[in-house]
Amino acid sequence: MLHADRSEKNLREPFCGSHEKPSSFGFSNKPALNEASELETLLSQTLSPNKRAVVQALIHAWESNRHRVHLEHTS
Amino acid sequence: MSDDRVIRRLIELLQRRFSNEDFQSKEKLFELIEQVILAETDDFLELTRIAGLSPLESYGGQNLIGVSFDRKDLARADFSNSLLIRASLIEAELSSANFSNADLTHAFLARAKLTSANLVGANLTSVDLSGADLTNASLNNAILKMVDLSDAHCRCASIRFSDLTGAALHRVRLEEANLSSSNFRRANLSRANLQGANLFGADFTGATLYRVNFHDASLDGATVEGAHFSDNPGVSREMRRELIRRGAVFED
Repeated sequence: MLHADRSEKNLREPFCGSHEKPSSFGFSNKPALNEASELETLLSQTLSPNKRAVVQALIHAWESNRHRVHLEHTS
Repeated sequence: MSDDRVIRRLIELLQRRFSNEDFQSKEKLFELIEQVILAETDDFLELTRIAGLSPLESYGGQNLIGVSFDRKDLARADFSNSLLIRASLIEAELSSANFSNADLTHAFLARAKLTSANLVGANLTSVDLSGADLTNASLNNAILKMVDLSDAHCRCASIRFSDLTGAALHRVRLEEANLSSSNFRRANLSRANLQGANLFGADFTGATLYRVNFHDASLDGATVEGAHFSDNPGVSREMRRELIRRGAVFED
């Protein structure tokens, strides 16, 4: 079963556009905001509120677990 | 847009978003998303099960605007910091659930069971909580402007430093509740039962308090300027004189 990471950091992260990794030049590699907003719009305009909420929670849980796995592999 | 096209477009966007990732589980994620979107049901708990999520632990901090889980059993679930604007939770079992700092503006919680629930710091503006059971619940620092708590059971609830401006509190049961330092300006508490409640520092300016039971509830330290009293059990003659001196209006 997937569980969202319950850390304070993750609770406060917005659903979209929250993954920034510093590039080698110190600039942010933020994914295009319009893509994040397109994802949000697609979900809210084409799915029922229940399906949208579950899909968003699923992506959030996957991202949280991925970060945890990544940290475990690199530490 | 058909479901297939939605799924294709969604996976395209997620592929781009996770382009640097090389995890096998990415495929599993896409498969689960597809299963949720194509599911015949719109039942929140069934969709949660299909997604492999925990109904009790997966929704804290999430966007749950407009979701519906009427009559569902979500006791002890974590909805802290979630957006539940216009969500429908009518007659849901939510005992000991955590809604701290959640935004429930305009949500529907009529007859929901919220005993010992945590609603500290929640925004409950214009929420329908009529007939809900909030026995022992914590609503400290909550925003309850224009909330409908008619016929709700709030015995032993803690509602301190909360804002109930303009709230509908007809026949609400607030025996032994702690209402200290809360704002009841222009609220209607007709026939409410405040027996043994702590009202220290509460503000009843302009409130309607007809037939409110004040037995064992001290109004010392409460603001009553322009509050309307009538037929109140538990208000002695001495207390009445003192309240009138402080600006209360007695209509009996």
